[in-house]
Amino acid sequence: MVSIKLVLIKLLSFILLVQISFVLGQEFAITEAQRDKNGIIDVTDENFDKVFDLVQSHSFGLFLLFTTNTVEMGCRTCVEFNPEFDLIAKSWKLDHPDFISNTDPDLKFLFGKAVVYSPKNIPDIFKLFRLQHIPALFYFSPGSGLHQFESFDIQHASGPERANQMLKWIKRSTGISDDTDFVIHQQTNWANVFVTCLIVFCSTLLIKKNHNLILKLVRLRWIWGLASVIFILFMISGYMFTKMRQVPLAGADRNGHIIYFAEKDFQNQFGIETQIVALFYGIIGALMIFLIKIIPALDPSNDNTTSSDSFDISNTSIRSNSGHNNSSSGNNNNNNSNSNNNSRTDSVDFSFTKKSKKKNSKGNIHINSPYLVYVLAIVGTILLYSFFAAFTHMYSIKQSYPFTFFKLTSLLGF
Amino acid sequence: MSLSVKEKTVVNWVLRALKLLICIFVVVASISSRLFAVVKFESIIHEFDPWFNFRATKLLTETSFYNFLNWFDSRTWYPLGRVTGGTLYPGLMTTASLIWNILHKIGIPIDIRNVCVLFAPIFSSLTAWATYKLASDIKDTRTGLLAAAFIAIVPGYISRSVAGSYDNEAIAITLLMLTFMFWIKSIKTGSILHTIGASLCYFYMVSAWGGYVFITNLIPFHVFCLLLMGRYSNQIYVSYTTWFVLGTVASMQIPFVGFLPIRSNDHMSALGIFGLLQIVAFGNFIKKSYSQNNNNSNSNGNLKKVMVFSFLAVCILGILLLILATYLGLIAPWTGRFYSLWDTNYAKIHIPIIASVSEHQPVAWPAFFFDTHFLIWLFPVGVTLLFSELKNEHVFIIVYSVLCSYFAGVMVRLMLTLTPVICIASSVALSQLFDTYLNFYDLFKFWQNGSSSRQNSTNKDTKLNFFKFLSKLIVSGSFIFYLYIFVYHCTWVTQNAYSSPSVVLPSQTPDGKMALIDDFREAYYWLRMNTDEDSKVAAWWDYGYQIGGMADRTTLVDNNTWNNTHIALVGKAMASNEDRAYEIFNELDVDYVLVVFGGLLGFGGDDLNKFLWMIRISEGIWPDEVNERSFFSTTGEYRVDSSATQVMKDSIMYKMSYHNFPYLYGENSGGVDHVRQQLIKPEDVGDLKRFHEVFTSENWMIRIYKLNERDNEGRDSEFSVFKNKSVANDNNSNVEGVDGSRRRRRRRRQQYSLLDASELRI
Repeated sequence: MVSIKLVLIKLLSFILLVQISFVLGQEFAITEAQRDKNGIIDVTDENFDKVFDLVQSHSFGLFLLFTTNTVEMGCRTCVEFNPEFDLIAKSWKLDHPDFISNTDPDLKFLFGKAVVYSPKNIPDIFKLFRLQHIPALFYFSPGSGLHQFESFDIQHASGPERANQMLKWIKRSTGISDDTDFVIHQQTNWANVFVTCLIVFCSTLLIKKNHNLILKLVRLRWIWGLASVIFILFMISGYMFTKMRQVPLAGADRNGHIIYFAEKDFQNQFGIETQIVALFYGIIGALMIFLIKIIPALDPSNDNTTSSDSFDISNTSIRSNSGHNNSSSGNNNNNNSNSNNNSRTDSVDFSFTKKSKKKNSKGNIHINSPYLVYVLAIVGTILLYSFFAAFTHMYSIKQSYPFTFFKLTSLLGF
Repeated sequence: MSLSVKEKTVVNWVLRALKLLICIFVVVASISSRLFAVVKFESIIHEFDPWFNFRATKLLTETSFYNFLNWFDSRTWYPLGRVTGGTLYPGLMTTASLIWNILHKIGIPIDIRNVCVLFAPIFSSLTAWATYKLASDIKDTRTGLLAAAFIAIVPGYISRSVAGSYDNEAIAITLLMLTFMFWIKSIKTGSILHTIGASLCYFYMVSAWGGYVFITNLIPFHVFCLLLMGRYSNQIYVSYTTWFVLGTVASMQIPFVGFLPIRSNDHMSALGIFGLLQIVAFGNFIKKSYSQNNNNSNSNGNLKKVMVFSFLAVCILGILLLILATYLGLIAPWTGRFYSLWDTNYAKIHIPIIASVSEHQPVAWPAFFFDTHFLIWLFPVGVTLLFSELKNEHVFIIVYSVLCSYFAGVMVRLMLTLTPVICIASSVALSQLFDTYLNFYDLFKFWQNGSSSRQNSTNKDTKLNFFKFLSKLIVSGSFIFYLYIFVYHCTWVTQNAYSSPSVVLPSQTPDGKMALIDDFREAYYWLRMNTDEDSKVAAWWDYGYQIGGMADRTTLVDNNTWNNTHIALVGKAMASNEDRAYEIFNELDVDYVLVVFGGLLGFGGDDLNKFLWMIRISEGIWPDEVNERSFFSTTGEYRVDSSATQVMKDSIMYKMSYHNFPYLYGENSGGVDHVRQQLIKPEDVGDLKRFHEVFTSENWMIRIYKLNERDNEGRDSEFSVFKNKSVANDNNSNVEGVDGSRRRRRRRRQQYSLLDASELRI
């Protein structure tokens, strides 16, 4: 009798123990999910069995996302997709603290995330599912086996559309019929609102206080000029492409090294390419302006800026006088006669013309030696040449291109 | 420097002769560089849209102009048909047929095809002339000549105007430049004559290209900027009001445009500026008469305040009215294409058919350099230089370049409208540089003086002048070198990327000889010769115009994508399984189905690659029946081999593309698809029960299938005794054909490798 009792007690306690451990296992995962602020279980090699036990024996559905949060993996979609997934999971948790549907008590599911924290240490679960691409989002319906899952196509859409599509997919695969049961709770970003308000307030205050200054600024020609030239520079360097395609700033090659140019890819580019190319165009353009505008202004022997006009005997060419020329055309004529009379034979003359030039030229800087100006012009040209040559080489990364400059032999071949 | 009157006239004549010579060279260069396509291939109409234009032109030369305007085309968009006369821009066709008629009148019996082929090169030389005039007005004749030389050979423009590219753009850019040229002239002079020129060119432009909306918005925007800068003048008033009234009334004469200029939002800015200009003119008038009467500065300030406030009030009121009118439905909202320029994600979400066209993709930076070479960095320099002067006409060029560089970045096809302004702005920069550095007048004078008074000039001075000469030579020499490279670049690009007709594909034999892949014409000719004249051919819309033009058979959908649902219907048929597709095609009276398959040759632009767009477009209409995701494998990839989904394998597009393909290299080995680099196994490709193969072109690029007919009792072919027999016969003959061609094919496969040229072009 005693032994039978003992056996019974043992059996009972065993059953109890098993049940407790069962419950504990279930509890563990759910409390894990409840503890997380987004309601997502961090699935690792260690706890995977326990989590998956929920699916197999406790009629929980599981949405498992395989992803990474490190930049080293070179997976931009992962980094982009993570917040969307978090948002959905959080919205589910917010309405359903115990992860059970409000309309259908049998409908319950959890969200989990398996994360690669470093490329050297990839968890075994990733190998278990033979994953070739991340991010991957799988849905395990209640009671399903290890390899019976539906997957969601993350690559296809992007932006706000993707979160909506994911929600649609979740509803379809879990069978939530009521639309109000699972809605996305978009977090209001109070910081953003606050900052916007502050900026609006400050700017109105500034405009009210300094409207005269602002009016002056708006009327400044060079501000508009600079703004439009910079705008053009970015537009012709493929800025809109990077914006519309949402390309990454830079890429990584097979060995994990950073690359800045998408090689041999004529129709594609990285974000940083736009910046590099715009910089090159900007530098070359600035050198060009230097040659066109600054060098003639610096050149002491080139005081009669209208010398080309005297050559223009033909009435066919309508040479437009530049603005400052117009205003000081009288002075210029004086200069002309001066320099013509003296024929610039003496160095004393230079100082003389320099003086008179100081009155009408806009720059204050003056270089006494004309040789220096010529050297500057030549240096500018050489710099321009080398930047352009470097640019053509940069271009040959994108496409096989026969006219790169350093290889002049290729040109002689024609 | 004193020249006698006689000497002056001589110099004048020499300059004129030089100018004429340069102009002649520019014209020759602009025409000859566009003839690569004819020299390399043949005198043939290119691509897709030109085939429709060609077909329309032929109709116009055969019938009368009124017939052309009333043309209802029942051979496209079957069974709907298309009111073609009322939905096309007739400018191109009427011009071509006018040229043809004149040539015939003076006794040159030229073929209409040759007129069409050579149309674009001829008009590009006109463009060069208009650009010359325009740039001359911006700075001087030197700039004009440079700009003309640039526009003549710049690849960005050649891309749409090679011989054979008989498209609306061929004439539209010429008219664009002509309109702008007249506009600049009229802004400068305020002469009504020039303005009338601008409105007539605008009318011509409206009749030729949908892109006229660009002018409709750019000119008002220019005027608006001038008003904001406080540069109102009577010239502006006269030229704008004349242009607006004449241009709008004239543009409404085009049937396709009709009442759009007063009913659509695209045109409202022109109307708004017209109204604003009246108010500003009125205010100006008051100010003038007011300030004449009293010179009190205080009351003048008050008047200014009133003016500014009323200006702002009118602007805000106008915008509010516009919104209200749009809301009430009095004015049509912006068209999708226009809207997608501003909201760049709009098309992707709402109108996949616009997003699917490769012309509407954004541009990465290499394309800009590819299309304009070193002009691309001269361009911002030119804009900067224009800012330092900022006359009224300079504002125009600046506004044009800022707006268009944005547009070109968003859509690759708008590169075409950016190119002329790039040429003008960069010629401003370059000519300014040459003004300084290519000017050796000082030196001439020095040597002249030096020879007469050598003893006076010191040694130092000679050295100085030598250095000056050297530095000028180096600077200008380097830029002449860039110009030299520019010519090579343009020739290279034109030759390699822009001269392919894309009807005939260039390829190379292993020994480097050029060979042509002529499958398209082979297949269309087969259709023309072997099918009933009234048979209907179903194909994806890309090939609609070509089938209409070359095979002369009725098509379901074509490149004029006016009916999205009809296109989606064809896409749905292609994406559904055989039974469903047979049902759809039967409902549409289709006799033949044509698919383009590049797997054997490695031709990337085939139907399987476009298949995703067919699915996407039809999913937009029937989300329950077509589901894009079901075509992706479990790993989320677009696969066509064994790991493809069952839905994919069941779709008739898959079956028709790979029908018999795996047997090509032997019974069990399977065939490798050279586009997608995947192995197709025999067991993947299901049998066709309701279609049978009737034609496969030499390189398998075009495959045509016929629907099995229903028998007299309306039963499907599967159950029909007679049909089975005929299917069997067909199959037999096919197997023979396949066997026979298999050996040839293997040989050919080793011989050809497709050139990259077709891929270069975006």
